[in-house]
Order: sequence, then C-alpha cells, then structure tokens
Amino acid sequence: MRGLLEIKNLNVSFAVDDNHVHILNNVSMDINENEVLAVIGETGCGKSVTGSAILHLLPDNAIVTGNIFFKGQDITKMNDHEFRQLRGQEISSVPQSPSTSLNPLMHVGNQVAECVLEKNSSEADKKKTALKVHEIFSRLGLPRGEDFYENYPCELSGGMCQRVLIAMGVITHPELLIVDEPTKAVDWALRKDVMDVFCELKNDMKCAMLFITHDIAAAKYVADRVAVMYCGEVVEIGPTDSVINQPRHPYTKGLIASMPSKGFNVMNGFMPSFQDLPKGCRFSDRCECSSDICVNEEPESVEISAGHFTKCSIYKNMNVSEIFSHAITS
Amino acid sequence: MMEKPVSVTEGLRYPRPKLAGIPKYMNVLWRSFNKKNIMLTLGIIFATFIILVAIFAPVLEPYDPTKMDLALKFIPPSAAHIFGTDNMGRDVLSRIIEGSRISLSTAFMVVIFSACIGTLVGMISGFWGGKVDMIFMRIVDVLLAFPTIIFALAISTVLGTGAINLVIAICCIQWTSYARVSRGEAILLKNAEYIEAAKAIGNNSLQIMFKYFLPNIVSKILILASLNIGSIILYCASLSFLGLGAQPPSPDWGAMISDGKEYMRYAPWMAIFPGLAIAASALTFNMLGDGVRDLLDPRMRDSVKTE
Amino acid sequence: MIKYIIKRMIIVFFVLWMVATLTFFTVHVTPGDTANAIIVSVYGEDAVSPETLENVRTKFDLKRPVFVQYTDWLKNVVTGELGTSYKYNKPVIDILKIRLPNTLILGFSAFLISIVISIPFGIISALNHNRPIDHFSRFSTLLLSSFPSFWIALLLIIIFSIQLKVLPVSGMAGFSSIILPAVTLSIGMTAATTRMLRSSMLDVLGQDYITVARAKGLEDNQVIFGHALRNAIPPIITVIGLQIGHIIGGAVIIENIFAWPGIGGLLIDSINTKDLPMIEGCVLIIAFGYAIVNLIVDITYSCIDPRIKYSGGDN
Repeated sequence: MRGLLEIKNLNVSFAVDDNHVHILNNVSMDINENEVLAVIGETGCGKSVTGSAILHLLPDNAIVTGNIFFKGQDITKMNDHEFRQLRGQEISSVPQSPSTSLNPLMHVGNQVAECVLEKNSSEADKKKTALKVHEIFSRLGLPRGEDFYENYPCELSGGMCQRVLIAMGVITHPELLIVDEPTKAVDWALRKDVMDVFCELKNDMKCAMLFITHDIAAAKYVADRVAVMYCGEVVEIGPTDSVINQPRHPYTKGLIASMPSKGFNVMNGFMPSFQDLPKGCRFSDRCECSSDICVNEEPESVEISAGHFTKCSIYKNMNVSEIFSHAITS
Repeated sequence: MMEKPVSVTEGLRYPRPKLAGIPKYMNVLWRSFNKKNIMLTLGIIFATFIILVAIFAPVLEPYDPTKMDLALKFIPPSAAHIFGTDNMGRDVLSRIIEGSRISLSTAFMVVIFSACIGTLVGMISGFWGGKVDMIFMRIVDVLLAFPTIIFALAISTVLGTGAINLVIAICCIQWTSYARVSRGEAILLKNAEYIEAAKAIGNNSLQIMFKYFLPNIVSKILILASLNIGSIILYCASLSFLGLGAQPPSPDWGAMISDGKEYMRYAPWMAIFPGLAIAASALTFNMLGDGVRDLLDPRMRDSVKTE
Repeated sequence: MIKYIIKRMIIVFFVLWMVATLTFFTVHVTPGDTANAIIVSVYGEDAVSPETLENVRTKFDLKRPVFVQYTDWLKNVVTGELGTSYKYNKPVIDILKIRLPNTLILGFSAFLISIVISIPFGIISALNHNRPIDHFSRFSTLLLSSFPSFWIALLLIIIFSIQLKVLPVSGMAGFSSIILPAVTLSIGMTAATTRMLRSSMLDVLGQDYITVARAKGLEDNQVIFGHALRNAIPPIITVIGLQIGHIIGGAVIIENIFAWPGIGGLLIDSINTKDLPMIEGCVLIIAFGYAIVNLIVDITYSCIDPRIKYSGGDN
C-alpha cells in the first residue's frame, strides 16, 4: 500500500469581522491507495472544513497553513489553475445535502456529463459521454435511458439526487473521493443502500475515500480506518476495529457510548465555541478523567498500538502494559 | 464535571431578531449601529433631518414662499437668495422648504393607506382562500395591468387634480403589492401548526388574524413600506410635474420643476434645485429602506421591491 | 407546459376584459356632463349652451343608458373600433396607429440600453462582492433610482442641448433626437435591473450547487455563465417585466418633455383637452401592451424554470 494523501499539521482559520476564528488545529491524517478513512465527530467539529480544504473550496476569508500532499505533491502550494487539473479528475467529491447540491435548472445527465467534458468538445465526444453517463446511472441503480438523463433535480427523490451526486463524483474514476455526510439526508430505509453503493465503489473502482460522517455505524460498515475529530483536532486515529472496539480517547469513548446500540449514554455538555476554547486540552472541560495537566497543557499524540494514535495526556507517561490495563479498567 | 451551555456557533452567526413589539424594534435598531449598517444609519440621520425640516418649515424659511415680487424675479443663486428666485420673484429655497411638507405628507399618506388596505385585503384573502381569494387576486391582476402612472392619470381625469386626489390615485395601485406580500405570508402561516393550536383553543377567525397573523406579517410589510417610500416620492413628483398634484400657489416640488422647465434657458436653477430636493429625499428613504431590509431580513434582498 | 400557457392566456383575456370595462367606466362616469366636456374640448368654454349640449348629445349617442353604451363600446373595442376623437375628429385607431410605432421605438431603445448596461454591471458587481467596484455600483444604482426621470431629462437638455448644443432639445428627427429621451427613460430600469441581478447572483453564488460545480473542476467562466447566471436570470425576468411597466409609465412624462410624438404625449394632451375616446384608446392600448408583455414574461419564465410546472405558477 502506498500513501495517496497526507495531511500534515493543517491549520485553518477564518477572518470573521476583525477576529480570527481558528477552526482546524494541527490536523494530520493520511490515506493510502484504495483505503477508506472515515472521519467522525459532532456537527461543527471541522470535518467538512477538512474536506473543503483538500478541495480548495474554502471561502475567501479562510487562512490555510500546513501541507497537504497528494501523490507526493503539495497541493496547498498549487494555484487555482494548477489545482483545477486535479479537482474533479483525480480528487473528486460527493457533497452533502442532495436537495441543494444540484443545479435546479439543468438536466441531471448534463450535470454529470459536465464533469468529463472539456470546454469545446465535439458532438461525438458528447455522445460518448452520454453513454458513459447512462452506464454509471444504471450501475448506481438509477433508471437507464434518455428519460432519466433529461430529468430536472426537482423531479427526483432525495435518494435519487444523492445517487446522481455520487455519479458526478465517480464518473471520472478519481483516485480519491471525498464523501461528505452521504447518509445525512437519506432516510433510514435507504441508508443501507447508499452505504452498499460506497462499498461497491471501493471494491470495483479501487478508489480511496475520505468518508466524512457523524454516523459511527456507517463508518464501521465501510471504513478501513477511522479518525475522530473534536473541536478542530484529530483526537484519535487508527484502524476501524481498534478505534471502535477499543476507543482510547475519552471523547471517542463517550461518542461510542452515545450510540443507540451501545446504550444511548449521551455525553454531558457541549462543544466549546471556537472563540472561547479551553487553554489545554480542548476536551478538558467535558472530560471525566480530566486532571491539572489536561487543563494547562495541550496533549500530544501518542501511539497506543500499531497505527492507532490518540491525543490525550492520560497516555503521556504510560508504558504499553499500563495503557492496556487502563483500557480494560475504564 | 461542569456543564457549560455554550453554543458551538456562538459568535459566528447572529441570531435572527424576533419581532413582536416596539421595545424589540429599538433593540434591533441599536444592534444595527453596532453591525455597521451604514445604509440604515445614514438613512435614519437624513430622514430625521428631512422630517424636522418639514415640521419646522415656517421657522426655517428665509422668505415667505408664496409672496410674489416681480421686481425680484429670476435672480440667480446669490447670498440673499441661495437657490435664486423664480419667475414670480419668489425665493426658491423657501418654496423648497415649504414643499417638503407637501411631498412628505403625500408620500406618507400613500404608504400608510396602501399598507393598511393591502395588508387587510391580503390577510383576508390568504386566510379564507377559495372564492374570496380568487376575487381579490383577480382584482389585483387587473390593477397591475396598468402602469401606476397611467392608472393615476386615468383616475385623476375622473377625480380632478389636487393633493388628496393624487393620494387616492396612487393608493389605488400601490395597495396591491402589500396585498400580495401579506397574502403570501398568510398562506404560509395558515398551515403552521401553532395556528391550528390557536384554533383548537377557541380563537375565532378575527382573533387569529389580528393576534397571530398580523404580528408575523408586520415585519415584511414594514420592509416593503420602507422600500416603497422612495418610489412613492418619485411617483408623486412625476404626477405633480404633469400638473395633477397640489395646485398653485402651493409650492409642490414636481410643479416647481414643471414651471422651471419653461425658463430653463435663462433660469436653470428654478428646475435644478427642486429636483435636487426630490432626489435627496428619495435617496434618503431608499437608503433607509435598504437598511431596514438588510436588518430585518437579509435574505429578502431586492425580491420584494416590486412595483 | 401547454396547460400552463393556456391557463395564463385565459387569465390575460379576463384581465384585458376587466381593463376595458374599468377604463370605460372610469372615463365615462366622470363627474360633470360628458357632452359639456366635448363642447369644451372642441369649441371652448363659450360655446356651452342648452342647444349645443342637446346637439352633441344626439350626435355622440350619449342619451342611451350607460350599460347599453358599454356593451356597444365593448363590441366596437373587440373589432378595433375605438370611436372618434373629439379633438382631431378622426378615428382614434388611426391616430394610435401613427403614434404607437414612435413609442415602441423609444421604449425598445430604452430597454436595450438598460439591458446592455445592467447585465454586465450586475454580474461584475456580484463577483466583486464588497470590493470598491461593488460599492460603486450599489451606490450609483441607488442614486440613479432616486432621481426623478423628468428632472434628469431637464438636466440633460440643459447640458447637451442648451450648453453644448450637440443634441436637439425635442422632437423626432433622425437618430440624434432619440438619444436623450431613450437614455433618460432607461435610467430607472438600468438601476433596478442591476441591483436585482447583483443580489440574485449573490444569492446563487452562495448556493451549494455552485460549490459542487467548482468541485467538478470546471473553469470559473463555466461556473459563472453555465451555472450561476442561468439560475440568477429567472428573478431578473420578473423585474424586467415590472420595469417595462415603468418604461411605459415613464414614456408618458419623457415624451411630454421631449415632445416625442408617441402615445404618452398623446395621452397627456387628451387628458388636458378632455378628449374622452382618445384617453380611452391610449389607456387601453397601453394596458393591453403591458398585459401582453407580462404574458410573455410569464411564459419565458416557465420555459426557463422547470419548477413552475409543478407549482402551477401560483407564486
């Protein structure tokens, strides 16, 4: 397995009025080829900002520092023109909220075809692309044929719009697909279908995915590795099994305990405002194991087991056996 | 463990003001200054100035605005007569100050009457639906088939000229836009659950309309009205320019320009300064309207600015 | 789609019928005697006497009940027969036929000027949101929409005709004489359309599907013209429809100032001389024209926006 995307110490802040609101703090993660990395966390923790930062789609008032390497090239250093060659071709995305992400005045088929077509393409090219679009539509379980191609988004259901968006993301056979909350706007009956589509994509098209979601069950279903984000930081990252079954960070533990299947034990408190963050660990004011060191010092990332990192001060001075016993007792 | 009920997005997003009474409007007004809503701030300052001028007109006028003195006619702007004098030797500045009373009162009357009639009709129409709605909306369709000025001209051939007839003529068309907005709102509200609840606890239709609909419609109507004043001032001026407004010797701005038109070769100031007065007051109320809209409903933008 | 157009057509026919009715009653039920008005308009105040009144009443068929007059009049309107002008003593329709093209030329030039100016300005302004050019365009459109058109007309005459002597003061003779009236008439619409396009573009540029279009790797131009502008256009069409109403209304004043021989100037003349058939004819033709423009606007709108089909057009 080769590394495909590597994010190193990514910081993003937004200039709001006269203040800078620091959203992402030293976010680091990496994705290998044909690997699915799920990013989970509460609403507003910076998951989608990470996705947008990779795609260069942040608003103008965003200030980005750090590095994002895609196949060894630093894409943060690229200008818009250079990056546009990658965007939509090698890195593409499936946006959240299908109802608002499609242009309401354009046939859905054309919206998908647009991803492939060059600006001045010939009629023959257009025909070829149309066939390609039909193929991908039927592959995603959408009705085949001219009629569907010429539908407007307002004529489709939410689930169908979602599939059209997926078609837009995958038609170029990207190497990295950034999927932003695909199950958010889909009702529970269709959720499994949508997830199966992604599993199929992963197996058939061999593309890597950054799977942004707040749905832990969905992440478990599709992901090879999981990153947990809290308040603009990656607090835990590691193989799916290890993170979900043996969570190390108190926040991950709380998040998993709050799943309905694990007892619905919702954590106390709320995520702090980005303008009023605690000094030390950002989770310290909600953490049950919080101590002085947590309040005063920013924790460092510790490798607990192979490829499983967590950013918590509890593990700072522990050796392996202590960590293991801590995991069992808590 | 401490519970800290702080919202995630606090400081990033401003809560939308909820409007339910005068004290909250004041609160909103104050917030506009903090948010640097320049349009609103300037609009309020200039509008206050213009209204004060209109109120204290008799004190501010340097000369009697209706006193004719043919010996003093066509004096160009000078120290004694800042805006010059007209063909009858009357001081243009004094006439403009006096004219502000006519212009503002006409415009305000039009806006108030059309807003009241329109809101009522729209509310009833949206609330009852069915036949009532159809009849009212067809009436609106018919009236909107006339450009405002054309209809006002037709009306004034019936009623004759004069300030009050001018108000009636413009109101005849203007109420329709208020009716459309409040009807739209009423239809949205009609299906809201709390209206169902209000019915369930025994409110009758009239109570529901005035206790539940009106407070919700008021902010939209207020935006529309504030956007409307500027164009009403222009309509009034246009019609009085055509000779349908206040009759001489009342110093009406539109009529003054109409008079000045005859002498624009020798005494251009006679037309220029009243026009500036119209433009300045229309601009002031347009700024005020823009500011109010940005403040109360940033998403509404220009969408309500219909005829 | 066809159903929607037919539905709109039926409404337009109903509106036109009501417009005609309203016009008839507005003009015919004037306070004071119609016969009196005719005599005053044709022969002057001094000619009014019992005999002349009687003569005129017989001549113009004013003795019948109002309702009979109305049905006859309506029949005539349908066949294009709008009566005889008191003042010109010629069929109203003939005079309108001469005057209408002049108004259309003026209105169409004004329309063209505003479209050519407002569309690029609206787009540039939205794309440079909160930059100096945006502030400039916001302020200048606000300023222009606050100026009374007849005042601008006078200023332009003072500057270009009296001071610089480059353009004619009034009348209709050649290309140079249309410049001032058309420019004056276009100002209001230019300002309104620019403002609307700007805010509509800003609205659209903030939508998710624009970000998605950029995420597809499209060029900025493709995003702006292919996605953003198309979605920003529908509200503009509504505004343009309304603004055509303003142009028609404004034409009345502008024609009057520039002595442009169109319908607007004719209307004002007829009102001043109480030439009732002429007033009716002018108001009818203006309202008919405006209703048809609005029909065209509605149909264009429904062609552009597929969502209209489902809502049935009741906005």
